[in-house]
Amino acid sequence: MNVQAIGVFAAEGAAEIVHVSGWFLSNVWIIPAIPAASFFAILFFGKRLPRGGSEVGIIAVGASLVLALCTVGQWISTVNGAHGAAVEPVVNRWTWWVSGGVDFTIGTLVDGLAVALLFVVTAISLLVHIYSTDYVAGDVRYTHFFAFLSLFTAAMLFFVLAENTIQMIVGWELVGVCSFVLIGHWWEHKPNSDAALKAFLTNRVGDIGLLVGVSVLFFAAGGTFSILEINTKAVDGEIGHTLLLISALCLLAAVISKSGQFFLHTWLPDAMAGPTPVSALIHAATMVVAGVYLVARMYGVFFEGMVIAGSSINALALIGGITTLVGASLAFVQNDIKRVLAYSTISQLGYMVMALGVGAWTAAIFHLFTHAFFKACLFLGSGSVSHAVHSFDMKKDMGGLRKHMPHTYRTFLIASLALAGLPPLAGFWSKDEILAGTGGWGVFGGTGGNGAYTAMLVMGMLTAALTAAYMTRCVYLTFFGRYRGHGHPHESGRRITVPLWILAGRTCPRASRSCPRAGPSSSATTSSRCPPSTSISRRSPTPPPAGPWPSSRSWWCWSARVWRSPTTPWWTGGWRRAGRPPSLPTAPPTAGGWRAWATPCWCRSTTWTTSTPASWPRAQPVPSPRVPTGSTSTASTRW
Amino acid sequence: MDAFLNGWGLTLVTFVPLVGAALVMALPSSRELWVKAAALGASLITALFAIFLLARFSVSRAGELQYVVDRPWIDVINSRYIMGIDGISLPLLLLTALIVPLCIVYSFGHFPEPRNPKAFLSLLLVLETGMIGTFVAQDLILFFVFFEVVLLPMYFMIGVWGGENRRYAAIKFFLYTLFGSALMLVSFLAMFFLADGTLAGLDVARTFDMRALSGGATAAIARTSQLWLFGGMFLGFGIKVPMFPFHTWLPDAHTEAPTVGSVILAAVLLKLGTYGFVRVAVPMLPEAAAAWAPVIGLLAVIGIIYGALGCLAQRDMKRLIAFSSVAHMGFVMLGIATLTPFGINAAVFGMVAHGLITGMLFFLAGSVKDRYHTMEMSRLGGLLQQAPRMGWILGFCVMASLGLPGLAGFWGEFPAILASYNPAEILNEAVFRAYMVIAAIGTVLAAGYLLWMLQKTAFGNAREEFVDSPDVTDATPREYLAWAPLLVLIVVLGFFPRLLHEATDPAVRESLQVEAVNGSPGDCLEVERGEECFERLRRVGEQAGSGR
Repeated sequence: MNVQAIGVFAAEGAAEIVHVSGWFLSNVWIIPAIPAASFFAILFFGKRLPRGGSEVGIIAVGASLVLALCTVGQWISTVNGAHGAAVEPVVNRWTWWVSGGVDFTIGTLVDGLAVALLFVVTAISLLVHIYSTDYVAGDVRYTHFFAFLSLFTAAMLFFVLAENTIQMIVGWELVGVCSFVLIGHWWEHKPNSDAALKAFLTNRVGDIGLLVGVSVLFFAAGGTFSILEINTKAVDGEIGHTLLLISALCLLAAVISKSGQFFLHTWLPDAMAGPTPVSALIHAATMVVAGVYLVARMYGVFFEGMVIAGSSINALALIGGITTLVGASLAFVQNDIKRVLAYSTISQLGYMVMALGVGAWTAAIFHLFTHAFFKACLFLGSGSVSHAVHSFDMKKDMGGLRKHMPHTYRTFLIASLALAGLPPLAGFWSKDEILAGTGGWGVFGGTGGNGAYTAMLVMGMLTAALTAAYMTRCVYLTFFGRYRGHGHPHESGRRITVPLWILAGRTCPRASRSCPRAGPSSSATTSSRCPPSTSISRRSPTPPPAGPWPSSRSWWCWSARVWRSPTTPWWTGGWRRAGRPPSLPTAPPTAGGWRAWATPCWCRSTTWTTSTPASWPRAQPVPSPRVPTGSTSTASTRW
Repeated sequence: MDAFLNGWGLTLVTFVPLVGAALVMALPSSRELWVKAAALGASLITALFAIFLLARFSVSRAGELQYVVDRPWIDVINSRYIMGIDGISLPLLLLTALIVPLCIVYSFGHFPEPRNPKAFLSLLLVLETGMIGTFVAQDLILFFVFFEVVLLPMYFMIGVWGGENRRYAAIKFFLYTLFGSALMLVSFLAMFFLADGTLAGLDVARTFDMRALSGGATAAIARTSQLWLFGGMFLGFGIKVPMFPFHTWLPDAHTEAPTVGSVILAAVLLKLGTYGFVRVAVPMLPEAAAAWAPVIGLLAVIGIIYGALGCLAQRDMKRLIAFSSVAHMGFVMLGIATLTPFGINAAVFGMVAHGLITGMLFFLAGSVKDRYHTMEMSRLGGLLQQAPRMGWILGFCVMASLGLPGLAGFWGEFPAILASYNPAEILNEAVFRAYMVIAAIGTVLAAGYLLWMLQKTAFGNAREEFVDSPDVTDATPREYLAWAPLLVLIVVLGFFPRLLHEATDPAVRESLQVEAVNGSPGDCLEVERGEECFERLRRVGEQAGSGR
């Protein structure tokens, strides 16, 4: 086993970096390998098995889930054991091939972000597998369906664990193909195959950006595909700003297509032509967040390229903001329940992208995490409904199902409330954090001026309201009133309701208490890299709990504290501060309490703790393109 | 064994098919099975020798020529019988040795009208000799002879066993290629007179020895002459590739050729052109290559876009695949035009991948035609319903062809795009970066036309006119046998690209940076002021020449 320790943060003292090793962390490649093997097994032998291959898929994904949980556990215990020191991501890599003296490696990269996604993908995939045994029972291509669910799971896990950008491309395209095959599952009907083609081709358009962006970054970073190296070099200023901007914009194009951002979002509603479990797994919970994940993974590039810390608007935040509004508005006018959910997904993906655009890294990943569960629950619920009424049309064929389908109704309602952002359900915490992360208006220690994304806050607030409204409409049309369809709807079987309850359970507060452990242990990455900084504590109105949150402290408790604690009414203070001319020196944007915490710490770690200030060009006089204008004046006070 | 292979390996692998062809001719045509068995046997023996060569090939020395044979041949013009393979030739040699037996297996049961298996198979075997010979020859005259040997069997294959418009297609193919070859020969001859073999350590000045010519002997040629020489070769090889705007013979030839002919044409014949660039044109005339590279790159990206748009305009499935070849070979040529080891590696990989994938697509098109008796996509549909396994294989090949990572096609495509971001130092970066973006757009179009084809042919319900057709069956064992190796290789190379790169990478680097007596011309590609570097080399060369 060739475990290479990569010096990610050379600027930090060696004492602060904890090297991790652990069987699960270094053998994590097994997790995607199991479903990949299961794909071939189902493809070749599935039809001969008593349950048509679905049992192989379930066992394989179940095994992956168990391993993923072990990995998550090992990671969290490592981070907790590090007592605030930076924890090195666990990287394993092997040479894949060599061309022209360039090593193309293949390997795995495990950190908090990766383990969070490992859990999301395997957990939801398993539930969808179980659900599908009932939902697609008797289908002509039952075996084939499960084979491709397995392949998708493998490809997505491969993508999540990618150690370098080439691997990301591979995983990215493979999930796209699985999406193509599964959207076109019933290819006898032309609309289905059209939708599949549309999805694939729209994604391909964005892939231009991915291919070009990766190429640019490869050469800009001095001939490396390694994600960590590229990020480090981007943050350390070793890559010119123009190149970073170009590659960030190229990658953004890929994000726009894959994560259904405005204006390439049109494929996502059409993709609902696929079977509903596919919509839940691929087009709500996992594949479509690949774009968000890409940004989160390559955040160094985006953070520096788009000058996220030093601007009040940037392409990422703007695209996300527009998408979130457009998606929410369009969700209003749909009659098809799946299309409501599809536009809602677009809107929520916009939320995540916007969050990344304003620098609220942790909040974005947290929202990805919570959204995956409640949106999967909603989709599976809509599938359960359609099972009963044989239609997706809310106006014509639904209504009054509350009495007929109590389990579906309750779970759907819980998930809707979570999506609408009702406290104390999971969606509230993550959305709240994103809004807080926009950092302007003086709220939660935000300073206004540069680094404060007031427009995004407005967009986010509007969307939150719209979301609550369209979900109310959706729930009302489906479950309340008088039944308008034909026949006698009935509750679905156990294999459908149990996954629904599990997913609904994950949105509840008690469950979301555990989110910080499993999920934003992603943020454990963040915090782990983030040395406890007195400056932050001093400036932020809500001092973070001692030690690296939330790995040692419940996220939920802390979120609640923040929510209650603004010292001044944020709406008044916000308006006043937002009006301040941007030229006035303000506190460094990263010092803005909430936002500071939301920004990935490896972006800030150099700022706070580097022993060589020259490596961070904030010490240089303005106007350096990479310098957030407000920060220069205060830089000296911080050193 | 080693001594035998070293002395005879390449000669055998080249001429066994020819012997087989003679044998097939000698057999009475009434004994059809014997004829087929003899042909299959000959091609299998060739493949066996190729495998021996692979087994004893030293990968660690893949940059050097191995199994070299060097015998006097035509003393008058100092042309010698030189053969040898390195890491670039080897994969292509293996590809050829693999494709031909598969073609024979595929056509075992049914020959295209007017049948006559004896003539068909002997032509196929002659073709194999020509193709393998081109990949192993290390003397320009020998290279040229093999290059031309390919022409006639293909001409007859299209002209006799082709479709309705076969005469036109065959003559077009023949004239186009011959025209290019003529200019190429002129370039070869001019090189013979202008180059100075003593610069590469030979005893004589005038030589056709490819090792010497790419080893510095051409430093004696003035820049202007080099440009002209390269131009001649460019036409010869470029028509074969085919590059836009010389591609018009290709769709006609492919559409009319019998299935096996199309497969060979796509899988191997087109590679003769790109191989010519990699083996002859670029290493021998690096300075001219640098001057021509922007043009080649431009034509390559035009080919990528034009080929893709051409595909979108087709109604005939086979013609669509033919146009897709133009687009894919554009990626290969773009890789070559970067003049970097990285790009040329991508090109060699692209050649092999395209051979496997497009060969497979033509096999499938042929099988679809056997079943539906038409290639009109508007009349096809529902292949997945009527012949599900074949439909799946088609879907798989489409995915491979559009460059899905994890399958072979991707490793030819993406690295070419990557390489053109950073071409050789002597080339203009901005131009090649523009090419990169255009090529990346080409990948979208590729997905467009290929998926469109898949949707038209495979998705939907079966057409009424074919619902009860007895011809429409799923793939037969004969077809599986012919396809399985290709399908397996597409996956294997997709997962383990190193299998190929281990051989090609040293060879490509070697071919770009040959150590000549007075310095490496290839190195000039990678320095800031490449023209001056070439100029200096030439002065050194002239002094050395006048000193003798």
